[in-house]
Amino acid sequence: MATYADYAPRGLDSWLGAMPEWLGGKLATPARLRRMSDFRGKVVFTEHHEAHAASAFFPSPFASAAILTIDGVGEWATTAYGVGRDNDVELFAELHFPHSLGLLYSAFTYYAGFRVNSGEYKLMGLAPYGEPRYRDLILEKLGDFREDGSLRLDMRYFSYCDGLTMTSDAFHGLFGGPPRAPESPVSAREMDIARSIQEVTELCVLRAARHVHRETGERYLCMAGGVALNCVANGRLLREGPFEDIWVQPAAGDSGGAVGAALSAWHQYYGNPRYTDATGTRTDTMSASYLGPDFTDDEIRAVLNARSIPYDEMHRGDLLRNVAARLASEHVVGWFQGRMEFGPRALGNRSILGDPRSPRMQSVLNQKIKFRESFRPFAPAVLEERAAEFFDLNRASPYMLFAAPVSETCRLRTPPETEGLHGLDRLRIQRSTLPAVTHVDYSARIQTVRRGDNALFYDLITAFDEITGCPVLINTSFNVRGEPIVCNPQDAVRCFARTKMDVLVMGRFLVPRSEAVLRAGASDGTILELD
Amino acid sequence: MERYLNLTSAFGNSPAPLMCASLLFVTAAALGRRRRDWAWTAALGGVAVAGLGIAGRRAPAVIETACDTALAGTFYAALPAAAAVVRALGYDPLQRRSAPRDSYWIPRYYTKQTREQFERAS
Repeated sequence: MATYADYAPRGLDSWLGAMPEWLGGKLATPARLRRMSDFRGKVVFTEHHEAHAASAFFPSPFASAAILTIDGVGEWATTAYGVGRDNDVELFAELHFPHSLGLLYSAFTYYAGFRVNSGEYKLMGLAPYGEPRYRDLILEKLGDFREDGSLRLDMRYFSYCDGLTMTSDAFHGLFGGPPRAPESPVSAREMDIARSIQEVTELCVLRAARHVHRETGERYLCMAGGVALNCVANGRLLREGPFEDIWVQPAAGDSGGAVGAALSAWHQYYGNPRYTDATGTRTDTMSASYLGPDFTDDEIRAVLNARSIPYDEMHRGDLLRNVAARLASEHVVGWFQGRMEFGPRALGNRSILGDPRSPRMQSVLNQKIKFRESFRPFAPAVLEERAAEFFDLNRASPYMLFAAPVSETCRLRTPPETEGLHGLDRLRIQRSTLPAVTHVDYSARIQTVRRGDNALFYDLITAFDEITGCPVLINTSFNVRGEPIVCNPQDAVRCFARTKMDVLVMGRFLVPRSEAVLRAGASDGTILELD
Repeated sequence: MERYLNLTSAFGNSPAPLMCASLLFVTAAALGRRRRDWAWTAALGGVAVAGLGIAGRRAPAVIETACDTALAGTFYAALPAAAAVVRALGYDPLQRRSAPRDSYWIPRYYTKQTREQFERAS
């Protein structure tokens, strides 16, 4: 209401959009929860950033740590910091709406022609193709960016307070034109825009972390909020920041708020103790983020039989050897096993897998499997104890939340004739012995795999290593553009049928492409909007 | 509301045109028999049924328009005046107009939620 009072008489469109949701939904949350479930107990509430902070600290491996949460907005706060100790979280200070690093990044996401609240990671992936041409302009004109990581945006350039878009005409004038139309070709301007805002974001995150370190004196940092999904900024923070170690909630966006709210109530409202790691192995309590539903072999078999889809049922060892051999032959494998991942990343249970050594695999996966933009990179899943052979990363990264450089020993000398290439043409350059997971700036968004977290996936990578000498696989989420990650066997069959994956593996069943698979995919007419 | 929507959509689906046609026939017959009172009654009934039919067919849009109109009325009735007061008092709730500061971090009034705050909306 204060926002509308500050902007009136402007802001009617936003008011008409927001008020029905507030009056009809958000204010009636307890009643809605009771209608949706059989729950009749007490409903308690946490503030948005309290929930993020709880999701960052309580599952972390640290007994005591600083906490930094950065996102778009929740209630008034857009950024907050504090300290977690044992079963307690305290937040000391915050930044308030509309001054938000998350919304600043979203504004550029909108301006670059991607969808707000889902296209931010595309902007991050686009950034290495560009030059930071607009970095200083952003820092000089769009706000007051302080050394302690706090900021105040110049709201003349933004319209998210009083309109239905993110950026104003003044913003468009500053950056030389209107936003890119969605689905139109990505130009050098968007690449430069992406690189510039990425650098500004990294600068703000680093500054904020240093401030939090000074204020709290803690050795470790826990992070959550949508901005904490920026693995490039996280990687820099790990390498250049003041903290000895960092833990980021794998569902750092608002979905992780559910975990945070539950943990906040459990520890802070009910006062239950929190057990931190006493063995010194420093593992978190997120169960490797495998918190979703799983399906038995009988359930999977029933789905396949109901659709008359032929399959091979295999013992574990045979299955792993078969799949590893297929991967080594550049087959693309849909891999559906165990519990679904919680959060935005597929971590080896709802994944599409490929051979990272193949120079053609990135374009095959982007254009024939996932139907997405050609510039988007893929992530490597590597055995944790072998990660240092391929990447400059000195810690585990089980959630793909840290980008790190591909090690010098894996890099290839680029041919002289490719030196003049710009933009997406740089995709043609083979940069390392793992070209499909090496981004144009030699970075990779790494998942390290520990056998204790996911024995089957670990053993598959090991089987691939035994054939190829390479303990790395491409791991991308099992979905196509615009769709959520597959959850159940029906989803997996449908997604498999609609792409050009070579084989689907669900539980102990290996499903090759067949007419029956295609019929099963065609019978489901659901079409989702592109993201 | 759902019951209302069901009722109006039932009206809008098919009975209204049929009822209108019937009442038009009754009106014509009454005029033929020089029964003006019957004719007036049937004609007014036809108009009413037609109006209800049209409203019923467009009920969601009508309700949405009515709600939007009410919300817009509320917006213009209350918020510009509130904005004027806010500005006159020099209050800057969004920190848009205040002078630059060394830091924009805002200390929290309370560093962690109390039991009452956990329970505030339950």
